[in-house]
Amino acid sequence: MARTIAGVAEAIERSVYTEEYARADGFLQRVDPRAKVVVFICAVLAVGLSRSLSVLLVLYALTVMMALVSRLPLGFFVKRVLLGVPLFAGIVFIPALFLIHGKPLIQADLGFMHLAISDNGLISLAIFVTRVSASVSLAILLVVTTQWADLLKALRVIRVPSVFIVVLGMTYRYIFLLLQTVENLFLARSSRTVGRPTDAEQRRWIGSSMGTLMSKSFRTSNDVYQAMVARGFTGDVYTISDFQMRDEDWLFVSLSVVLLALALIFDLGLR
Amino acid sequence: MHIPDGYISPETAIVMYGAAAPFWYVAGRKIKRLMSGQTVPLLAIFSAFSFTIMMFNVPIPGGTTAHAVGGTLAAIILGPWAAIVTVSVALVIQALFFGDGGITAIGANCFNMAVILPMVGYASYWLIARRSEPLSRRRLIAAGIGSYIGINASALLVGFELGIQPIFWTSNGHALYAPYPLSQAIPAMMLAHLTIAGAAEAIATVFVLAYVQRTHPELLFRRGGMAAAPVATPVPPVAPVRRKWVLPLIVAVIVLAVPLGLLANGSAWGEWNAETLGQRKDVGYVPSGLQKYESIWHAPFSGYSMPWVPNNATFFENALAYILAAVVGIGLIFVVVFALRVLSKRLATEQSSVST
Amino acid sequence: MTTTIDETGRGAGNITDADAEQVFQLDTVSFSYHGRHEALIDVDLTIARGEQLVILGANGSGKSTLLKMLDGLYRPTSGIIRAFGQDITDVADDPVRARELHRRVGLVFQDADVQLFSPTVYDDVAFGPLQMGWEKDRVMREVARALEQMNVTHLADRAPYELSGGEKKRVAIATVLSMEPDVILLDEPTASLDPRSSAVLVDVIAGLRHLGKTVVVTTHQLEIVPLIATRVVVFGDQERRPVASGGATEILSDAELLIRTNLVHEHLHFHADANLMHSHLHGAEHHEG
Repeated sequence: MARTIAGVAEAIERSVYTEEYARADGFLQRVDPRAKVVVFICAVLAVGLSRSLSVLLVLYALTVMMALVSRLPLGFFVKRVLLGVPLFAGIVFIPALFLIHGKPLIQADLGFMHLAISDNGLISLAIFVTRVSASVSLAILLVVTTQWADLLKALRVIRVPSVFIVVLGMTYRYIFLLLQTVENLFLARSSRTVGRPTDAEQRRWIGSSMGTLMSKSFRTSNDVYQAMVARGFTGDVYTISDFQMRDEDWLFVSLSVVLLALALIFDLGLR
Repeated sequence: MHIPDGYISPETAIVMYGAAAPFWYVAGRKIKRLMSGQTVPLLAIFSAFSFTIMMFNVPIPGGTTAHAVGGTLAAIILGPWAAIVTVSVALVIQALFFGDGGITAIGANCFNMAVILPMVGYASYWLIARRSEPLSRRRLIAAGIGSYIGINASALLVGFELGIQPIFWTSNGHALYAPYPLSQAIPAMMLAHLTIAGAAEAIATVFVLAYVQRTHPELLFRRGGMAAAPVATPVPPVAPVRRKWVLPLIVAVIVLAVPLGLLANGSAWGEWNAETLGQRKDVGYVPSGLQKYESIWHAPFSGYSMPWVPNNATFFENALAYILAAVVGIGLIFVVVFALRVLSKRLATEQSSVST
Repeated sequence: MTTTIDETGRGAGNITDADAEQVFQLDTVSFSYHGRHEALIDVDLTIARGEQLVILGANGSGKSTLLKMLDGLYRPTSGIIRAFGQDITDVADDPVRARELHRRVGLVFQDADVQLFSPTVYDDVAFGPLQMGWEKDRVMREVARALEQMNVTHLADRAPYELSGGEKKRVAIATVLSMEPDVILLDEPTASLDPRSSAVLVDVIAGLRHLGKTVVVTTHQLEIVPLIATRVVVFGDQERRPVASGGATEILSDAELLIRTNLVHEHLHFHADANLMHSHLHGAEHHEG
């Protein structure tokens, strides 16, 4: 139960942080969100298609540079990137380390079995972790330097239908309402609980709190629909955005695309 | 069960987007027809609810906790098509905002957890409970079994997607993406889900459904339809359709069609080099001037081949190199143009601020 | 019952009885949910243009339902309801008329969270104008104006969950103001607000008069009534219809009425001649009514 509360609190806190960085005056924050979306897609493709470790490391370094130039505190960036998915990826990879064949570098003879880490294994690990790190860094750069509402509207540039954008925006907004409700439910419960409830009690409690959440969801949905109708909603959704591509934004897009293409060309040469 | 970025190749990722897309499209159509404008807030709030559910840690016999997805539950209460959209939206937000699941992997994750999970789960539930009363115990059991089957079907698929990575995408002996082959990936996924995650999902589904049976039975009789609000016919959209994307589309098509040139053997008319010219039947000799000047300039990409693409490169790799060269070429033009514009703007403002 | 002329003096010279448009006219209107719970029974009510009407009633007396009906969200189970001289009983069937009604009548819901459903304040305020089909320039102008009128321009980029209760309410009002309504309905606007935010909001509501709007407010908080009402209608929670109507002073000094309609409890004292609420400690001096 405590874990759920902690998870919820962390989620709320994270969001506050993120919007804060999106409002700072850094390089990426000033770029048109649509340009960022396009460059992000190209970058992720480049990272995905690259096969050589050196190219991947360069691409990762570029993301770090972008973070610096956008006034993202390095500690935050590295922590959030490396100590999350890539660390986990590294751990996931460890058994494979021993299974990949190649020239053995480190060996251990345990009598009943022979363990060896090969050069291929280490390189594989490095490639995997670097690729994952670079991908996650790119995602973080995109999301943290763009205000959520703007990011959603920018998705129009890749032809995401308006309905999804509006639903996504509303979902994001109501996640916080529900999270606060959950927090209150759980806090109220733990303040009335003495000692540790049994697993069965906890399960029943989780079931009923999820149920309460569900009925609140239905009620809220009904009310929100009425509020929408009261402002003239008839079923079609519209969004308004004020994006203007400046010359600097075009420069950013074209320069990034060129650099990424060169990186891939280089990668091809190294195969 | 969320697949992060980097675990699957771009090829896999794109295929999975392609797999999810038709389901998104059909689901979108189906619910729009069922519910008119009410769809929007209902889906949004249920996605928020789905997202929140995924944060609950359910205690499992044995002392650990795990979290449920709730896809089958959504299918039972809202209907399978609404569940597809609801869970997808929640997953997209998890990926974009909370970094849970990769962004390139959104297609895969949605297909696994928002399509297969609720559909298989709901189908199993329906097969078992079809004739029984909506408020009966049999429905609860069916829901538990159905959701268990759903989440495990999903896990099997994930194991498959991860397991085929080393088969197709290995280079020089090292795997490029997820390193475990099918023989390891599938058992690993199934072990966790047949026991821990499956239990969490089944438990959460049964308990919530039981609660709903007790306190809000009317939800189980109607399929997501809400009260009071009038069904309005949609007013045609006002915003004019912009056709600005046509030009970039044409450029993209041209760039991508460039490798077709590779397929054509031989040289274009009028562009022969000395040797070829000498061999042509209608000429038969090499003009001396041509011979002399030919070797003055060795273009870096002579013959349009990339000198640094290895000889044993596949067709696709050569094609990719071609496309990339075109991209660099066109891109550089843009870079120069916009760099000049930006610089001249900066200079102009500097001058005006100096002169005032 | 008096009909007030808009204080800015607009049209003061040529307002005749015929022109003093009845904005709303309810004729024996009843409403029940799903045929079971009767929220309103045989309501007769007229609201004139430029009025600032306060509908007083305990919880459950049908006030919210009434407002939603005035905005065309609910259809009366029986009776006729008119707005701006036209019959709107069946307005929900005609999308074009419904949209026009929604534009002219703005409803501020009791729960601001339900009204602020977009990712940012700006988006929420722009929602109404966008639904009206206005073109982008006009939308941006109206939004800027409404934000300015409610003094929330500095909050335009924020997400709704970041706002305080009072700020949310002001933004909620802005979301209807951007549609240039003639009438603004507010359902329990000061509920769940702390006293200071309450006071600010009351000023805002009083200020809506100067924008030329007809204002209808439902509340059960007696202390704000004299500050914003030109007329008061009291709803009985047993009767589910108006049981009294008059000026603020008149109504608030009728202690028996207030007790009967569950607006005050006998223990509490209320001063009819004071405009400010002051509290009595239990067992303090007693005043004669």
